Amino acid sequence: MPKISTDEMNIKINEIFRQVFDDNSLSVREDMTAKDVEGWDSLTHVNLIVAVEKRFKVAFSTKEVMALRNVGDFLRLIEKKLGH
Amino acid sequence: MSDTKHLSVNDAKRVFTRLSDLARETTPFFADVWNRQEKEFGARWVEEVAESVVLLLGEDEERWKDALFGYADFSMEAVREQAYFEEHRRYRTSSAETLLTNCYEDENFMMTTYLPGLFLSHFLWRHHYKLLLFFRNEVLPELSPPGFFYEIGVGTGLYSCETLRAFPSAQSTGLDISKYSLDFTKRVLGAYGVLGRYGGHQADIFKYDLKVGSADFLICQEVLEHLEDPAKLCRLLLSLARPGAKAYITAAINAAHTDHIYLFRTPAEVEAMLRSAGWDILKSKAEHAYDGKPVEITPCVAGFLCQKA
Repeated sequence: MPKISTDEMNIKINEIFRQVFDDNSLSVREDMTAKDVEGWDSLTHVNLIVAVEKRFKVAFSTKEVMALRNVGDFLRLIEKKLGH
Repeated sequence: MSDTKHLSVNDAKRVFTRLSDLARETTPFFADVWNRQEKEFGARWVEEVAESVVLLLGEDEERWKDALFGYADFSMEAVREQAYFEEHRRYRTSSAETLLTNCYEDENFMMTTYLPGLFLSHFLWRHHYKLLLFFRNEVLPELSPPGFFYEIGVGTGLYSCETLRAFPSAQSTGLDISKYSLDFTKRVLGAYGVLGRYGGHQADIFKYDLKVGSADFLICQEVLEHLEDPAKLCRLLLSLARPGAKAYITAAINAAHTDHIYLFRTPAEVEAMLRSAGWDILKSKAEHAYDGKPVEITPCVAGFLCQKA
């Protein structure tokens, strides 16, 4: 996948969140956790992971997913996978 | 498993609180299920899950963490595969060829992820727990005390354990292609004090010398979807039953997982396969994993109490 800027990545991540949670008003923030988003449970969490894997052509291990505490952690993990 | 209490109500609450706290600490995105299940199934469920964990793993938090991680890994794999299924409307593979090496013979995968995850899923997945209640409350009471029963494909041994505990004079033989399923089953049965009435054999069911017409009861719990030709197993199960014997046979429907290769699209398909093999159906129950998605892409498990004429 061609290298993308952090801004582009954040826009794409926001699109994915809106799609997974079916909420067009959703704006992701780094400190956001599952408690902040209605419907963010274990099922939607994995759907989110799968959607990001597909969009950015990366793969996350369960250990990596388990270590995530908030959206910021997730963004940094994606950046790492993309070689930023 | 309610006949023998190993934990007091207060101890069960203490264990459950610590378990769910630990789930929030170690697997935060998979911790919601503990409170959701508690809300739906109440104090009895809390006591049961606490007791099962303590019997199997003691009060060792490192072992609890491993099991919680195994459950999260197992669940994540299921949701990943389900996403593939939703998109393609088929399971990723329909061949049994690689299942042995990629799954059932992989000690690390089986003992740290698959089996602890599967065991916990019987309590933490709504549809699995509802089927367990169906077996306990509506299947076991329908049986005459069986002298001998088979479990074909033992998984974690939970259903053999339930049956051996319900019928103190019953003897059982379990068959599974995975050595690790049998090891895990022995651990479960040992924890509940019923291992002395059980024998486990590692074997390919279609190549093993089973006693035709010998079983008073059979259990085959979520095995059919793991086979290329489940109808063949339905016929084999019938041949093992003595006339008039009953069987409890279940199948996963529209439920993708690493080792699910045969796609049942409706409970009626499973029922038709069982009837075609020669079974009479006495009772059945189908439960879905969650609400909100079309039924054709929602994981479901269906259980059938069958009888040989």
